[in-house]
Amino acid sequence: SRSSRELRDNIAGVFTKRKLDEDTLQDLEDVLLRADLGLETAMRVTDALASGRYGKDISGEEVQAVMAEEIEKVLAPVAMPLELDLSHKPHVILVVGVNGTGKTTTIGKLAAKLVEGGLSVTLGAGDTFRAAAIEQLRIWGERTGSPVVSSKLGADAAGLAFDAYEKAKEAGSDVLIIDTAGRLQNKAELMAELEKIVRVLGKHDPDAPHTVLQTVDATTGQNALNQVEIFRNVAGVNGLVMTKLDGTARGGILVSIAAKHKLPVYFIGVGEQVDDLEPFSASDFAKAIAGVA
Amino acid sequence: MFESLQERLGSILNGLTGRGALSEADVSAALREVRRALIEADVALDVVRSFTDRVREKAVGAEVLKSIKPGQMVVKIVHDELVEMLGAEGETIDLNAPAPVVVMMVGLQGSGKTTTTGKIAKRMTERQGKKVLMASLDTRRPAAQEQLRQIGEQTGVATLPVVPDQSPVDIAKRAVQAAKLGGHDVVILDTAGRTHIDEPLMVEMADIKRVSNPHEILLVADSLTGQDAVNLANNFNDRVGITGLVLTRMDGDGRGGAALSMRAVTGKPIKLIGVGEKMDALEEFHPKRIADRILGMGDIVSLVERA
Ligand SMILES: Nc1nc2c(ncn2[C@@H]2O[C@H](COP(=O)(O)OP(=O)(O)OP(=O)(O)O)[C@@H](O)[C@H]2O)c(=O)[nH]1
Ligand SMILES: Nc1nc2c(ncn2[C@@H]2O[C@H](COP(=O)(O)OP(=O)(O)OP(=O)(O)O)[C@@H](O)[C@H]2O)c(=O)[nH]1
Ligand SMILES: [Mg+2]
Ligand SMILES: [Mg+2]
Repeated sequence: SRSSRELRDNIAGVFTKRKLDEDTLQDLEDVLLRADLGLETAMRVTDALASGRYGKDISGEEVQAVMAEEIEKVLAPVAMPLELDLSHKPHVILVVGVNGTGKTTTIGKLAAKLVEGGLSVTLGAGDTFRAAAIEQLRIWGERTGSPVVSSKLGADAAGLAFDAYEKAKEAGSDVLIIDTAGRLQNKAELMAELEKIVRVLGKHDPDAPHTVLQTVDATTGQNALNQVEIFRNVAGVNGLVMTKLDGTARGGILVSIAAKHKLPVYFIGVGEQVDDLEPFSASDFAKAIAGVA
Repeated sequence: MFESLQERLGSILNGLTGRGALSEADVSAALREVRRALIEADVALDVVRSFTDRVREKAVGAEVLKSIKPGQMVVKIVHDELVEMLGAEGETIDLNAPAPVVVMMVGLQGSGKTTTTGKIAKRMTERQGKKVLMASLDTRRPAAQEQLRQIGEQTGVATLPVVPDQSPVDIAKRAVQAAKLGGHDVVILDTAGRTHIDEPLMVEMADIKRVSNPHEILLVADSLTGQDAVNLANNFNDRVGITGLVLTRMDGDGRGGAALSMRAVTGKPIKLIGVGEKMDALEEFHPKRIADRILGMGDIVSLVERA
């Protein structure tokens, strides 16, 4: 990809065969900072890289390989496929996250995958706030052949979630995916609404929502750590999708998030089209950050 | 949360007991902490570097006022420099051109272009008594045109009727034409989100500019953006020559370092900030407030100003 090529040039520029000293480590830390890993995580990676190698001669390729390895170590435990418990019918997936991070689009892509896998999917238009959010989800419903349960702009989102469950149950759907309005994690009132959606779903099935998926935008900087922290506390997020990795942002904050929260990362978003959702690969992601081809 | 810069600098510099001038060594020690603070606030690395260089120049040899501590002195210098780099306030959208004045909104996917289009249109209508037309050129994202239509209904601002299967360039032409015929003062073009490395879409954006001749081209960017802020701002600016920035989601709890990054690399003013999802959640930009926020500090500066 283009970003890993740039990064490789970047590293090559600062690092041909030379001693692994303070200056070199600083240069490597800079590479990680530019990928949004954040200071603490960047230093942890460079420390790990330096241990046992400090003062020795090391080539650019070796450094990249080791850097990728160190990052992969953090990410490998969170790279997991999304598993559905189909003894729950429907298995409920609630999708949450900050405004514009890609919730609705990810739902469309995910529905396509599930339908392709032979499952029947119902979508719940739980974003009753944003203009044309319902119409947007309806188009994804048409594209993927999934019925959409919706109410009106301004209606109660928890009420919609409750109804959507009933409709999905009646229809015998395997999976119900519920969209929610984007919200910033520091808005107490909006976060309380999310809590209510979770509570209301529990009236139908005490284990619902079974999957609470949070979308994290790869262009977001250090604030993403806070986003995950609070959405997890309030809505019980138990899985992540990182979107918009088709740009030049590398999404390095995911390394910090993985280290801290250990939440599974199921997919990455790499575009706006229906098949632009890929499984998360720790090794590919780590290599892209370290600039290994 | 973050330890404030003042606390950090205090423990490094307060041994100096507030007499004399700041030495090179004092300043270097302080700037290491400044660097950390800026990186934690998402200021792009290259911008951090040029910023600390500027501060170094001003701080070395600066007289420390008797009534304050050296740490506070450095914070004041840092803060003042930050305010200066963020640019002057009050530079808002310029409508000084023959009607209809074309305003074009550009940016990455989901940054807040459509919402901001509605907010700006509402503001111009209500505060300046302008007759505004909004047009959605987003033929790609599902229901994007419908979104702007609904926003038009909510705000009472006219929107260009949707004609199916028209290209964004054709819609732009039609919008300008309709604004002329309809006697509109301003026409705002809401474009589709695009990544700055999507070549066909970047070409499309330049084509839209060519046919509509905008007086203002506003880059709408998320204030929560990380290090990528410089790449995206540079690329959009190179391709269409933006005239200003709008930072959205300033109602979040992000530190907003992207503001400094984008301002520094483009030299273009931050014209407005988005502070919520509602149509009146748009404010003027105040560099001092954003500087405080980037540094994560409270009243230290007013303390120093009183000294
Ligand atoms: N390039 C790219 N764009 C994406 C990706 N995922 C989503 N988008 C785009 O990002 C924008 C926002 O996506 P949405 O799905 O509407 O985001 P959302 O979180 O539902 O937004 P709100 O409901 O307004 O909070 C749209 O233009 C999408 O097409 C991705 O992986 N890559
Ligand atoms: N909290 C908050 N949300 C905002 C702000 N500006 C926009 N949003 C929200 O961000 C999301 C995306 O906004 P849009 O206006 O659809 O973004 P866009 O750039 O037009 O998106 P695309 O057309 O898909 O590229 C919506 O949920 C908006 O309500 C803001 O200043 N604060
Ligand atoms: Mg949505
Ligand atoms: Mg839009």
